Amino acid sequence: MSEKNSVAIGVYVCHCGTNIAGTVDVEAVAAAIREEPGVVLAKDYKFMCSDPGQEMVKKDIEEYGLDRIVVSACSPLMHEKTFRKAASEAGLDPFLVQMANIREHCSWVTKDKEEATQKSIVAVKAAVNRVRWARPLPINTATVEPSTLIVGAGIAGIQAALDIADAGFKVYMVEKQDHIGGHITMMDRVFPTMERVNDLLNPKINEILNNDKIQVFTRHEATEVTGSVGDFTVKIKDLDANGASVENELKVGTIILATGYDMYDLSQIEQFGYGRLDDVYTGIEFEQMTRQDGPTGGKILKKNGEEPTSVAILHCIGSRDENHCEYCSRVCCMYSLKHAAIIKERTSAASYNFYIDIRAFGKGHEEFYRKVSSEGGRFIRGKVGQVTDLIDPELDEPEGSLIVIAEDTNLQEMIRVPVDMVILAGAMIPSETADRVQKMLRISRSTDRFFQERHPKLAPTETATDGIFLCGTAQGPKDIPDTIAQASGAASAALRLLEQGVVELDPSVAVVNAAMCTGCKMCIEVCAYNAIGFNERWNIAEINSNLCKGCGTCAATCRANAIESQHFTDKQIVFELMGLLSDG
Amino acid sequence: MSDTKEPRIVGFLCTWCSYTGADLAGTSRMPVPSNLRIIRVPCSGRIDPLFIFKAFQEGADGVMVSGCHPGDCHYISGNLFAKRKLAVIKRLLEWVGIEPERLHFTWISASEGAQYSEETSKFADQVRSVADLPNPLARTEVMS
Amino acid sequence: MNQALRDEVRKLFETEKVKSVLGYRQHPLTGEVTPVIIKSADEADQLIFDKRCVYNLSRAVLADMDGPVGVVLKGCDGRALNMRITENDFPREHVVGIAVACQGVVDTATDDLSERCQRCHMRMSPIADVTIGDESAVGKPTKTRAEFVDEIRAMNPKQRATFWKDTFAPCTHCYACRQACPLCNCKVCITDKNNPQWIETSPKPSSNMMWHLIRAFHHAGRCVDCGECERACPEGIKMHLLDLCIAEDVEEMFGFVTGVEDGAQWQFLLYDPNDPDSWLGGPERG
Repeated sequence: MSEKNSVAIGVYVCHCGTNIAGTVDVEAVAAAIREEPGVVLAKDYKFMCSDPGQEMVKKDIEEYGLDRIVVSACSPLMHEKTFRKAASEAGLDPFLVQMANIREHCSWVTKDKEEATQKSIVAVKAAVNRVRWARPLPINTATVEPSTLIVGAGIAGIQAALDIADAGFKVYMVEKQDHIGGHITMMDRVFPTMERVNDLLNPKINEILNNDKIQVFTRHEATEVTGSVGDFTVKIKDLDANGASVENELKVGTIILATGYDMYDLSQIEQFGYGRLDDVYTGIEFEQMTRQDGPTGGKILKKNGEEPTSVAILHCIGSRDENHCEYCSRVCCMYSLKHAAIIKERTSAASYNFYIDIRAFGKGHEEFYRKVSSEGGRFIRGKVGQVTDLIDPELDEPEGSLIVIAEDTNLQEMIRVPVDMVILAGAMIPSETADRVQKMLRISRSTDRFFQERHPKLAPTETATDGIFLCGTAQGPKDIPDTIAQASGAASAALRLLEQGVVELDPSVAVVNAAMCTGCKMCIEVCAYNAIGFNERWNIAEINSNLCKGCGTCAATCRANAIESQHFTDKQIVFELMGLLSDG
Repeated sequence: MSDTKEPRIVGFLCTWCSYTGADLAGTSRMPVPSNLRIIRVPCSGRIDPLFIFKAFQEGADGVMVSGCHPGDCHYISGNLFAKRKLAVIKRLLEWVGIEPERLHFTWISASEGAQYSEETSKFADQVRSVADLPNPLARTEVMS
Repeated sequence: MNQALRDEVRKLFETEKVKSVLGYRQHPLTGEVTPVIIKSADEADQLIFDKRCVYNLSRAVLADMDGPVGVVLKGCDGRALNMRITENDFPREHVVGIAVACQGVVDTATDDLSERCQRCHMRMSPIADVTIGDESAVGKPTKTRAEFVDEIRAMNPKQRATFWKDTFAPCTHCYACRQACPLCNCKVCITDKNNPQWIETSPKPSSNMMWHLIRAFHHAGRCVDCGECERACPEGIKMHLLDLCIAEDVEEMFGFVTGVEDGAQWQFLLYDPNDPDSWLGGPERG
């Protein structure tokens, strides 16, 4: 065996000020671990993540020839990168660093000092055991194709495309509609500034169409994506090809998902009469009516061609409703205010907003709310129970009107409001293409069924798959400025890869031990990334490390133990386990 | 068997959801049983049922496995593959006399720190209630 | 039966459908029934099939044999062979199934119908390129698998632990059960892995339990109830009962019979998004 059998482990127990040391006897932990085989030194220190803390590790690596490091401190999700980097700077492979979480999982959740100390000792022993079997993992790199695919040409896709093309990279846009612009093209004005959509959008669309770095495929959809970060191959299909399968193949380095949203089908919520009663519109339908190129030339008219004398605007239809969509669709409060403002501007009708809460949290939104309500818009706090055309003759309700029945929660009484027109602020749901796109890209979605970002706070424009980014309402309901901001964020995340031209691949992936593989192909069945192929000649599985994401499902499935999940090997996990139970 | 000692529990947590949820319980200073010891794995799909056997052999009184909620798996479906394997393991261990109360499989998301605190505390109580019953896999088991 | 078998095998050789045949013969000196490999039509006359043909010949098929290999198959043998093909041990074309109408084989020690055959519900091989004998005469099981398992089901955890500890106590870790099993096809058995060491080499309650649990887990959803493990055990350990226990659960949960439907046995390693949380013992959660 050429491999060195003995290891030299340095253990560092962090006080984290009093965060750890207040509950854990850090000196006792260091003392207990000092006697473990392979441990060359065990120190406790006030703040390991500080510059002097990191310097100490680096100095010890050089001075004592340490070849394994255990930092027992906070969560590895917090500082593993920090210590890996420090070790790396001292010439040690970053995968030879192990953290023991004695803060989040110990000192912060345990009151008794003795218990916390005992728990810390086994946690550090486990880390020592584990790091003993850690192996250096060389980092592979892949070159990045200098182009991006953008799926969806709504306002999110448009913004991302312009950002990337302006930085000098090729952009392919795939859009299933016959025009670009997305849902926004159905609208007339934007809140809270009441600018015309055409004034905002047309210059952007012209920029896209006149930019020779951007190639737009309208009436196309992406059908297949293979490869991995830096080197995706995308098949796109012409939707108007009438069965003649005209497929194009594109090579791209990154993908931005901007598939947008659809409106929840409001005919599923029968009590509001949508699809059954005349003059009950969805928000989008009302938007279309207000456009000059719309069916009424921008006039607000009932079906019979008369101007309404009163309009009810119903908030949260399908949103914040456990029977339909539990989440808040975020934009409906504001566009409902916009509708009230347009009604005020173009008709003499009274408007009634029925709301649960007015969520006016954006810049200028609260002011807009105040303006609309001060100009005569009526606001009734209460969710509507029903819209009906059955008038109550005893109440003098006008013939042919729609009766909005709601509980006014401020007055705590049921009210009936006769109106001529009803606008339903329906919930936003993921685009109907989401299921297909999810399967094609093998990425996750959150419980609300929108695409899931890598981290809700720290990585909102990335997906869990390297090289695939997301923005706009594909990720969750949001308004135009938020969409544009996220689109630019996704573009800059993609540009980071495109600019660098090479990408580092996480080496903690699975590998096949050819001598043990029986060729049963079970691993191929369980791989969610199509990363495992089969070598017919040798009758063994083979893993493409560029495609493997390192989940380890194949390793756990392989009865023959022929697959090793690097950095999470059986050896590392079992020895860690034995360390955790070493006090038995 | 240990009569007086506090039972020991091993928890396998996937790094993306459940480990992050456990961290959140920590940052929120919610109580977590001190006899619960954690192993971080990339995905609940990584958990070879043999790890669970091994934990019992090394003297664990209970084993907990937690992954992302179905549909939320960072690796798309690892947690669902885990589910079938773990379901079989639970039955198998039950056949040989290892109480189902010693095993806890659950889904905890990155934002469910409170859930983590609650479930781990409940599970620790549950394990305590069966800790005196046989663990036929434990090394300490002797020929009678 | 024997004559029909010999005629059919001769024909297989003559029409070049097979290059070799795995079957049974009565040993000319000892009188024992043993497996045999024959390579030509001339040798077909020694083949027999009767209640003494206990071995599962699917175990003996190797990928590098001169093929196609004809294999004399009872129901259980055929199911095991089906599994081996599913798991890609060799291609389907490598074997020619010679399905025999099996009326059960005996426990060689007592000459009574063996336990496995009492509960066998599939005496004809699912792989049957040729069929020998009268399929309608194979008879029906007199017992169900559940009846064998009920004994354990009735026990409380303490009794179960004691039962298995006593059952496995004579185990010497000789692994004859592994050698006999048609589905123990790992290149390196888990018993032979020492870093980490999953199963301690010395026999004692914990290591006995570890081996038999891993064995049962590795066979869950795959075991075809041929009972070869038990027959091979020099200590007479009834370790196969644990396979039956888990087979009851696997069939109930995943709804398939191993070795009958092609590939269905993998179900338990795959998943259905609607798998109930109740499998994991916890309450259903949203």
